[in-house]
Amino acid sequence: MKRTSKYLQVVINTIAESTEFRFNHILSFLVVSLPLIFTVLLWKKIFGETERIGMFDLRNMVTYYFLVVLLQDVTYPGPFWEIIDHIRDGGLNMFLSKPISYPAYIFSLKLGINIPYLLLSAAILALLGVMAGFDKYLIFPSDPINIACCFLSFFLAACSGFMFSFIFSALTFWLEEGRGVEVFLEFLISLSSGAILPISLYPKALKAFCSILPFRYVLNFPVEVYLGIVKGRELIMGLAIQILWVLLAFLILRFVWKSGLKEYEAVGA
Amino acid sequence: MQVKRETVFRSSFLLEIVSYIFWFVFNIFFFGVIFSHTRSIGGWGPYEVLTLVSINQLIVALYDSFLGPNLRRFQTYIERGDFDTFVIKPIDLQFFISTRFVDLKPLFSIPPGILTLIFALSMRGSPPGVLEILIFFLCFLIGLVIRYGLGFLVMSLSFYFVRVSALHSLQRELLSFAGYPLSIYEKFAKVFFTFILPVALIANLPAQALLKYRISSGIVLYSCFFAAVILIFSRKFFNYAIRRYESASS
Repeated sequence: MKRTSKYLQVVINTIAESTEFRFNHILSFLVVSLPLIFTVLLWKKIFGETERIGMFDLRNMVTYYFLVVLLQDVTYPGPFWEIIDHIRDGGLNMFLSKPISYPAYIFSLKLGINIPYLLLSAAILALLGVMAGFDKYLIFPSDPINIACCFLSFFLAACSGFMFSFIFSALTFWLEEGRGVEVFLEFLISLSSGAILPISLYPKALKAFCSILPFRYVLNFPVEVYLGIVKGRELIMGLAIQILWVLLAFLILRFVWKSGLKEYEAVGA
Repeated sequence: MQVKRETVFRSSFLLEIVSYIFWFVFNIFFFGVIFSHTRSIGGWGPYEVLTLVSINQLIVALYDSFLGPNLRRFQTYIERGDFDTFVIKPIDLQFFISTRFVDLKPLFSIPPGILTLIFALSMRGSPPGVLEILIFFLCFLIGLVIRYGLGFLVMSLSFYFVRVSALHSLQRELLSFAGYPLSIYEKFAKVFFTFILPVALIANLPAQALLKYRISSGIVLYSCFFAAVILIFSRKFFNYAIRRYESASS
C-alpha cells in the first residue's frame, strides 16, 4: 500500500505542477492543433477530387488525424528528456540511493503529465472541431465491442509507447552524443507509426516494413481499430501482436536498464 | 569553428544529415501517395506540387541552418542570464542573437532540393524565363524574411513566458505547412493564411513565379509590405519585451 501511494503521490504532484503552467499546455496544444487545421484543409480539397482513397473517405480521414493529434504525445515511443538529463547530469544518483524504482517513478511522472494533457487536448480539440466546423466529419463508434477493443488497444499502445520511450532514453548510458539517433528515431517513428499518413495507404513493401516495427501498434493500429477499419481476425491478430510487443518491450527494458546501470556505475566509479 | 563543432561526433552528424534528407523524401512520398489516387489538388498537378515542396525545402533548409538554431536558444539565453553579456557587446543585439550559430546539417538537403526542383520543372515543360526567375528570387527572399520575422516575434514572447517550452515548436509548426498548395485554402482560411498570417505565401509565391502562374502585382507588393512590417514590428516588440529581462544572477 505504502509502495503504491509513493508513486501515486508522484502522479498527483506532477498533475499539480503541470496545471501551474497552464499557458504552456495551451500553447503546446496550439502546436498540435494548428497543423491539424492545415491537414484537414488539405484532405478536404483532395476528397473534393476523389471520393475514396484506399479504405478512407473524408470523414474517416479527418477522424484519423484528430485521434493522431490527441494520442501521439501520450503513446509517443521516442526518447524522454527527463531520463536523458538524469543520466547525463548525474541526477540519477538521487534515485539510486533511495528506495524507489526509477522506471516506476518515470511511469508515474509520465502519467501525471499525460492525464491533464489528454483532458485539455480533448477539450481544445472539441472546441476547435466545433469552431472550424470540422465536427461534422468526426466519427464516433457505437458498437460496444468496438469501444472495448479501442480502449484495450489504446492502453496497450500507451504501455508499449512508454517502455520503448524508456529504452531509447536509456541508450544515453552508452551514447556520447545521441542527437543523431534521436533525430533518426523521430523520422522512423513518424514514418512507421502512421502519424503523417495512414499506413494502409503505403506501397506494399513499405507497409510490410512498418508492420515489422513496433511503432505501427502505438498509433496507426489503435486509431484504425477506432475507425472500424481493422475488424475480425485482423483485429484479434493485431491485439495479440500489441500484447507481444508490450511483453517484449518489458523484457528489453529490464535488460537495458540493468546493463545501463552497470555502465553508469562503472563511469561513476 | 562551426564545422569542427558540428563534426566532433561524426556518426551522429551523418545520421542527422540522412534524417534531414529522408524527411524531404518523405514529403515527396506523402504527395506521391495522394497523387496515386487523384490527378490534382485544387488544380495543382504532381509536378506543380513537387516544385512547391522543393522550394519549401530550400526555405526550410536555409531557415534551419542560419536562423532556427539561434531562435531556438532564445529561452536558454534568458534562463541563464546570457543577455547580461550580450547587451554590452558593440554589435546590434538582434543581429547578434539571430546569427551566432550555424547548423550545417540542413544545408545538405539543398542539393537534392535543387535537383528535384529542376526535375519537376523540366517534367512539367514550359520552363521559366528570366523575368519569372527574378520574381522567384524576390518572392523567395520575402518568404524567408516573413518566416524569420514571425519566428523572431514568437520567440520574443520568451521574455514574458520564460518557461514556455512550446514557443519554439509553435513557430516551427506554424510555418512547416507552407509547402501545401494555396488552393487548399478557401473563404476565411484563404484570407487568414494569405493576409493576416501569410503562411500560404512563403513558398507558394516563389513556386507560382517559377510555374508561370499569373501572380497579381498586388499580392507581391502586399507580401513585400508584410515582410517589412513584420520585420520592423518584431524588432520593436523585441526591444520593448527585453525591458522585462531580469538577469539570472540577480
